[in-house]
Amino acid sequence: MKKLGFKLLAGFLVAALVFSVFMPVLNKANAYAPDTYEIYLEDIDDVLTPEQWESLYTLMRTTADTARCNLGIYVTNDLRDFDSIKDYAEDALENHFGDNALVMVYYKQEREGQSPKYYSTIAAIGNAKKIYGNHSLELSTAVTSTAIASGDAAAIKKFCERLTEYGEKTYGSYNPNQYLNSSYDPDQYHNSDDRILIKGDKYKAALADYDDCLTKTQEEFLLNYMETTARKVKCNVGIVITRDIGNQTDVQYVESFLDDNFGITSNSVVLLLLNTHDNPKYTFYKDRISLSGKAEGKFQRHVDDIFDETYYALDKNGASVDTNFDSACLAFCDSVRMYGSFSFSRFLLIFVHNPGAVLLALVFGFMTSLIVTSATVSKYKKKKPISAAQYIDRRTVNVTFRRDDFIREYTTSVRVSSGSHHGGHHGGGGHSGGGHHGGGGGRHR
Amino acid sequence: MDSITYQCPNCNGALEFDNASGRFVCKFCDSTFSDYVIRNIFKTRDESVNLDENEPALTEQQMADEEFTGQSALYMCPNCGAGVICDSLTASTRCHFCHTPVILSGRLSGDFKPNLIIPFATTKEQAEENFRIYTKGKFLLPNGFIKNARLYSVSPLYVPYWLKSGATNVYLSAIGKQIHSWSSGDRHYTHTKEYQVERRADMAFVRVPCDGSRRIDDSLMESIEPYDYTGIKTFSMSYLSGCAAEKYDVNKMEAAKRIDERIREAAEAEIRRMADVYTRLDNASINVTYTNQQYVYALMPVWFLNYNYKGKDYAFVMNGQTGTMFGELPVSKFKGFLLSAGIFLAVFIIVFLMGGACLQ
Repeated sequence: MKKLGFKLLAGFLVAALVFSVFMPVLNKANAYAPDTYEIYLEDIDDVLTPEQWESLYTLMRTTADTARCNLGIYVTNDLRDFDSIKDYAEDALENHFGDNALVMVYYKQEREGQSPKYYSTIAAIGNAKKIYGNHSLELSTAVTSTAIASGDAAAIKKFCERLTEYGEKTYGSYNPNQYLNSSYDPDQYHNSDDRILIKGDKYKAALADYDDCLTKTQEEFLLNYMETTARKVKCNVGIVITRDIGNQTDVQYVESFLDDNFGITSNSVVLLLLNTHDNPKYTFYKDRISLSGKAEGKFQRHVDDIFDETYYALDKNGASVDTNFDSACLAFCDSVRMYGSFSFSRFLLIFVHNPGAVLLALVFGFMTSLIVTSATVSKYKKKKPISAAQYIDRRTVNVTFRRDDFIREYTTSVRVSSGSHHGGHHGGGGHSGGGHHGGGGGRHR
Repeated sequence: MDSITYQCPNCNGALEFDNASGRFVCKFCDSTFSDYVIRNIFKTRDESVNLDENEPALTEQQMADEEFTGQSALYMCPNCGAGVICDSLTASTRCHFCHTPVILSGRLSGDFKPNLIIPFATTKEQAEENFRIYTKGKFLLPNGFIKNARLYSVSPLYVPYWLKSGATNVYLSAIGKQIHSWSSGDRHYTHTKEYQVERRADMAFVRVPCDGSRRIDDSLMESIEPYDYTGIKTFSMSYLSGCAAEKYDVNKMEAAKRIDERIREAAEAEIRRMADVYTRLDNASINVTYTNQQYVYALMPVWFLNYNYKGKDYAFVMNGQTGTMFGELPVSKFKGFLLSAGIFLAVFIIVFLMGGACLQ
């Protein structure tokens, strides 16, 4: 059994690795086809009452359809031959389901004289693993905490509700007739505003991960980091990761996010990571940085640099892009901190990248110092005599002759080299309140 | 040499002109007298001195000879009878023994008799206070200067001045250019209109001053101008009582060069101002001619303050009428370095950031 468990674990890890590497490819390849998803609710030890079982089974039906995967829930108070609850789940997954399934094992450990202990674990395979794998910890935590507070049925119900929630966020609300005659259309994804996490008082941080590229832990850490960044650079900081921007353009989308969360007249910087570059619809759309208020002055010139830093973190270690969103967002914050505040590292950066700036500064500094000091010292030594104009009797000034004869006129012109234009947007098309955003920029990855 | 001391009509003590009150004061009996009273009392004597003024003045050579022989440098104090030596330019001083104000009337006779005088309107205390104000807030001044500088003399001196008045005719001929610039697309356009410009104007200058003493730096005296000519008075020797005074050693024609140069600069600036509708004037030719020129010889009040700091003397002058002060101040090398280093760093950082951002 140990060998089996080891093999399962190894297989799981390999599968996880494979999925994580090829997730974008798989993601694109998996077209949705309306199926009747299998559901399996096993309660060998009669932990649930028949009514609870009936009720939960019905709930599971909706959950499976919404989450678009086969769904199994195993309720037990005895692990029997399995060494761990994990083995129990893997075995159930392997024996009862094929591809695209999610299994939850609910283990209620009861001992005499002691209050029961609750354990739960999640195992998934196929598309379900890809979509919900990141949420397994949150799901099992929700189950056990609800079990302690409200009992077994409530815990399982909580599981179904949470999974339904994730499913809705990924695929949208379940409508039995929605996909009867259509294949999966990514444009049907919906962003729901309750996914936007906001923190901060004077300077806010807003994080929306509509594409579930971040775990809850990562989200919490990142939000705190963004909020600290916002306070440090004295402007609001936002990050939105999505695979769908609806009918809006990339610019409109990011500006709407900025306006909705920070306000039209705020000082804000928002990064849009548009995670659907393979979709032909988004061929001409880019990741975006939108700026407003004073943030424009701080960051407009550094939009390209911020993108550089962000993309470097996104692509580093040769790993899949999707696994590095956390690092990319942190790198974005670091860049904002660097360019938004006075720091030695910024000096070093400019020094390395712009020796011309150093030379320019040296010359200007030296010349100004020389001129100002000389002028100041000369004031200690000499004083400019007053002009004899002081002694002109103004009453006697009389212009006796004046002549202004036109000679000729001519016009000359010279070509002027225009300064470099950073990609940015001014005004906002059909966007309400457009025109207030001072700048920003976009980049293709 | 004739010497005069104005004596108190009440006690025969020496009278001095008090700058603060503008009256003559007897330091012995505390009596005060107005200018008018003193003039009337000493009218007969001053007139007799003035009669002497009709005698031909000494030539430069004669003065040099006298100075060489020491004849003119010796005078007799009317109060104590002591013989005191002074230089050939001194016209008013004090007896070195009894400190009585003594006016050497012979030095102010003939061509050397001033036409006008502006009496002192500031006191010694005001001069010292003005010096403190003048040095206040001067960052580059050595830290110990104000504390450690030793003031070894504060003396009021009537400085000889030549004042020139007259009319000028100024003519300007130039190519005036009106230039308008604008940008369109990637091109910058400049439209220029050219005119032949001529202006002619008359203007009068009133009492343009130039100091008549060689040993006093011209630029130092010009730096404490202007004087308020509403306070100018007909010369009377009584004003010199208690103050030092000098006679001129720069003659009228020498002073005229400097004055004409100043007038020409001012006239040119004025005529250019009359053509300021043009963006610029090219090939400008300006001609200034002088008419109805008049010179008057006047004595102007100046306070001289001499400080010694670390073995070096620093002279400051203050306009005895208006209180305007100027003098060369010492500069701390260390503070100079700090200032230049601070400016360098500040500009370096600003340009570094701005330049770095621009070049990216």
